[in-house]
Amino acid sequence: MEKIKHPLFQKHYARLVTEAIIKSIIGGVLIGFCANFVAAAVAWFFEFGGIWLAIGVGLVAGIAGGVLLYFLKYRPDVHEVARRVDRLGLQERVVTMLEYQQDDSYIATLQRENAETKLKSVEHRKLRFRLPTALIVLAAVALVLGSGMTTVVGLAESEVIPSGSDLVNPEDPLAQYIAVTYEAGEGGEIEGETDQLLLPGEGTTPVVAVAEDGWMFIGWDDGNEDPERSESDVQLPITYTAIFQEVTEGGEEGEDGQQGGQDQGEGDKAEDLPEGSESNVENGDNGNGDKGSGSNSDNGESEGKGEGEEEGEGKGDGQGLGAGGKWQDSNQFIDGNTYYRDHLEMYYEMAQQIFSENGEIPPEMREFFETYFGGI
Amino acid sequence: MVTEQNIQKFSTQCKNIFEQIGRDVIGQKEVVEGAVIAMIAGGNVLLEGVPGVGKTRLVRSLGRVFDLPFSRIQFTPDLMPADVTGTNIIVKDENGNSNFQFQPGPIFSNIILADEINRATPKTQSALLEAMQEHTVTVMGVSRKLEEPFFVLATQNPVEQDGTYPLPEAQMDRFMFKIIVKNPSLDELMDIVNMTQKTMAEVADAACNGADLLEMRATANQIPVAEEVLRYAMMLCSATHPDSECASEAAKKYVRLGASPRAGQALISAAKVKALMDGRFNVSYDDVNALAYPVLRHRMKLTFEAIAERVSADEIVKMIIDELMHKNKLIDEPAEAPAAEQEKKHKFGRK
Repeated sequence: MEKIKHPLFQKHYARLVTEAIIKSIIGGVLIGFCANFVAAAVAWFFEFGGIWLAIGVGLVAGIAGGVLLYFLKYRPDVHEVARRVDRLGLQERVVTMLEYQQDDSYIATLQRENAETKLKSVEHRKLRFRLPTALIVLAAVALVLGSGMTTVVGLAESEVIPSGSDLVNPEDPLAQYIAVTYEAGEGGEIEGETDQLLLPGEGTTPVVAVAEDGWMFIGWDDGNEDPERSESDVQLPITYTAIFQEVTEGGEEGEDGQQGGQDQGEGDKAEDLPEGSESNVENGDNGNGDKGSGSNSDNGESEGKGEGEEEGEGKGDGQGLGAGGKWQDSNQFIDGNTYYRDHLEMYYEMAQQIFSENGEIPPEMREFFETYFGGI
Repeated sequence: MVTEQNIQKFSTQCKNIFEQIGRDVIGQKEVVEGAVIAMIAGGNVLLEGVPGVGKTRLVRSLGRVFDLPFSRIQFTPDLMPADVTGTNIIVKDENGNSNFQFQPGPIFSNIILADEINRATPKTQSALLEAMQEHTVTVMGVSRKLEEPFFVLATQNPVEQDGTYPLPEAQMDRFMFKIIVKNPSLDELMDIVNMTQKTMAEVADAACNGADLLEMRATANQIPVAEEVLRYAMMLCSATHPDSECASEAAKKYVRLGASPRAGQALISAAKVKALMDGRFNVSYDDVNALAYPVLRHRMKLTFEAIAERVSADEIVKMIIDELMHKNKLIDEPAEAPAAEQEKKHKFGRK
């Protein structure tokens, strides 16, 4: 840059340098916040870098942009100063003076003297700052956008708001769930929710493996022999398969009988009931192969088929849980025991009959009601 | 080489010139200043105004003030070129032999008043072309140089157009200035009447002579012009061309034919004189802008749109100046230009 040689120029030059610095700062703010906005947007959308990177990029770009703007665009040279001073009413005296400063002719000398005289009369403070309005407006807009985007990144980092990528490509809400599947092998089915989705650490709702007629439940493929099962603290997806075995005559009788014995428990429970459960009572008392009937009975109430009674050597102890009974929606399975709504309704009618005759229900019936409702 | 003496002499003579013309011509300061600038710069002037506003008187007064031979040619439709330039006539010598001898026409003078120039036919108008530009006259194949300084001060009436022949572009271009002579103001009118009640005679004395005028021209020519001012003046001329690269929006819309290079020459020559007359030793944008009106107004051929919208040439020049000043960021700092300087912005009879 050409040096400002003329002493009269120094103050004007200094004033225009100040103006150039202000313009460079505004330009730097514009560039910095634009870069900040872009970096913050990238950080938000691609989850890259984060808030400090966005701020850093903005700072570096702003400072570099401001410096570059000053040296490449706004820094005043001597002709710019001369032009601006001339606009104060000097009518191009200073510009001409500079251009003809090497001219030794009389008229050029006269012109210089005239220009210097006029220049002395012009206060440098009259040189007003010219700040481009468009630049200021753009810088303000960039400031708002940049700081706003940076705030968004900060909030996204704090997980107050979702990141940009989450908005554009939201995660599959099911992806975080773990699938637990209960499958039934041949000869049975699963009562309850067979496909369960759980968050890690959650437990499943109970399911029950129910054998079809002529089949019996043996156990689950993981060795669990309890037909009813539920899992707790699930961490991995898994599938459980219930295994059933067909009940055959002969060699299988013993098992049937034993199973029948378990089912007989229901019969035992029915045994004490006043009516409509005679066959079960009897079968239960027999403790033998009535099992076949018991195992496939709907609720222990149905009549036994009698086959097992004749041929099986049932070993049942009458304490069976009745799990082998056919599950119906009307039944309630509570604390490992099955309660039957149809029995309830029947007993309820009986109880109403007794109450209408001012009688008193038997203690067994009372116990049934208490157990049933207490369980529910 | 300009000396201090030249500068002082210029200043003194300018003062005297205006003072003496002021004795004959009341008011019309802008017109007088324009005419004097053109004469010092060596240009021809076309004065346009309705009858009776003092055009002819001004020209006669200028002739007196500059103490130069003065010819008046009343242009009429039957005026022939030879009536202007002169012609060869047959004369007999002492021996009785007949010879052709050139009889100079009225153009062989220093100041020519071409009164109502648009009343002559184009053929006769064209007789002035060579004289105005080259300051020579060619008759029968012989060129004769006119005595310097040479000026043509023409007048024309913009109102009475019947039986007139509008000056062609080539002729118009040879006038450095076209100055509009307006009607005098009320006060000026009173002064005019008061003065002419006493005497109609011109009373101005000579303030300088032809040699002085040429010296003043040489002095003014030495005034430095900053490159950017020169560039601006040329941009101003180029901006009048609708098809030039720096054509202004106004020119694109209203101008069919822009100013010639002579306009640029005239603008700078006149601006130098104006600067020196204002006591400055450099040409400013204000000088260029003020002189743009008389220099450009007659050099632009307007479009039908401009005529239909009644947009005058002066308005177009103003639009071009405004556009260029904004484009080049040459607007004065607000309220910073000294009032005295503002007052000096002459308009030269701008409409």
